[in-house]
Amino acid sequence: MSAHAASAPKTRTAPARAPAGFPMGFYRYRNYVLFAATSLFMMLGCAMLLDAIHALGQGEAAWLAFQARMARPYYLATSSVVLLFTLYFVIRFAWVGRKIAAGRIGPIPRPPVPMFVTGVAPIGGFLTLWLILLLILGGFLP
Amino acid sequence: MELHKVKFEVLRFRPEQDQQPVFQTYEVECMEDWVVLDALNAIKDDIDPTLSHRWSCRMGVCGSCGMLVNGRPVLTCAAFVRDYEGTIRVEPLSNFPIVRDLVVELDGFVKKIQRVKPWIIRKLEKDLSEGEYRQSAEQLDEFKQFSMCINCALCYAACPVLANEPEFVGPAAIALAHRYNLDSRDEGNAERFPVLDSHDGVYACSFANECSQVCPKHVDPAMAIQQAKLTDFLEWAHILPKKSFT
Amino acid sequence: MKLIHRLEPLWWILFGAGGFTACFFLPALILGVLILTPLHVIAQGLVYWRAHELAAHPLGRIFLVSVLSLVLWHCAHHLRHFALDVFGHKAAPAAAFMSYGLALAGTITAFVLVSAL
Repeated sequence: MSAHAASAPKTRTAPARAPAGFPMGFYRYRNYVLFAATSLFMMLGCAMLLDAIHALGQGEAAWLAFQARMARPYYLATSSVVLLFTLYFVIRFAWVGRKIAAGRIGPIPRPPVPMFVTGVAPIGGFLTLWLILLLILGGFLP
Repeated sequence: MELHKVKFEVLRFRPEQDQQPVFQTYEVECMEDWVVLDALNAIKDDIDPTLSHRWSCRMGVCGSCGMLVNGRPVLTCAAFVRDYEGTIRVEPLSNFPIVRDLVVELDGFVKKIQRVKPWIIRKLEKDLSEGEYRQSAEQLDEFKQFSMCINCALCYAACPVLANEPEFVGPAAIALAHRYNLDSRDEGNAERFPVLDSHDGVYACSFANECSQVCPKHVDPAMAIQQAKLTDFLEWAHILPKKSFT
Repeated sequence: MKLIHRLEPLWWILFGAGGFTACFFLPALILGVLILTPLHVIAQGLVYWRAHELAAHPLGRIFLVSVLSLVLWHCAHHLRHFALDVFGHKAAPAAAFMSYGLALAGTITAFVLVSAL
């Protein structure tokens, strides 16, 4: 029995209609689609990083060739788009995290801080980690 | 008070004569402080008595008058005519079959609410002589927001998941289940678990957050669902027992 | 499909863990490895011998496989749900098998490539 079926159907019903503006006609649904698209671009980013690991395993010539390829405008543009979508993902994902942290989970009480902190503090944490990782990749940290 | 003419484009569906829903336009003389519900009542009273629509309290507490106004799910008793420009389009809630005109089939919605057992479940009821169940302000605070639901179903109309997965338990039902699971007086966590844990339960939600955006009582069902997802995982993985913690 | 449904909490926690991993590490990895190094903005950090040393170190290997794998599982779960939103019930098996299959393939690839370092 369908979730929609009436207990005692009497007259013919018209079928349910999809929400107005889904997927691209309303700005909030568009943001939702954008959020979904971040996964596509992050997958692409992972593929490019796997390519980097592959090149690294093939020797120095391959590694240099990989870098030369990634420096070409088409690849740089792709990497930049991947980065932008990843950053949009971070913002939206931090928002999900805030909603989870705002309540009691089993015996774990909600953190005794204002909601604003549970939203903003993680971003600070992420930025710190990004900086540390960039310093490592840049050779400034052992 | 000034009267001004406003055009309303209303979706009609009369199963005895319409193959499918059609729009009908009405011109209504509206007062400045009218809400869309006032205009619909004026249509029914003075222009077209065949128009069918649900309403009751006209003050945002009964949840009866939910409809799409210019595509957005709202309580028509809280949607002021002056906030809209041009022709105002009124349609029945999306994601529900249409019974007649602006009236939708809500049996499925009601069944989902019932499935989550939205009442205090206890192994043993306290004897009356033992007095009332005491609850601190902090304990009340943990679930109070989720108890404010008026079952208006706007969240179901807004949810993009429900459009293609009508079996999804839905925002209001999950928020209500979470409300009882968080209630210090309740011991029914394990009984609600199978409903929430199924693939039509909490995990069908993809966090569009539209339910929370349209909720007229600021329940934030999306928040309840995300918390319920983590709680459910911890119980499914036997990291937490299926019981209430108070 | 029944097994996929029984394991829904697992897919979700992978989604969550992958999401956090992506938040922590992905932007810096993309910026550092795919943009700044090819552009020689940071030149000495990822010269071949150092890049290889970082990646082939036991911790480096664990880092690379875990991060890439978790992010892929996150993306797979998200895309599976989005496919359901857009295409509906009938796409459920295809969406699940294709997306998780892709994540599994990616995980195996990461493991193989990192082992070959």
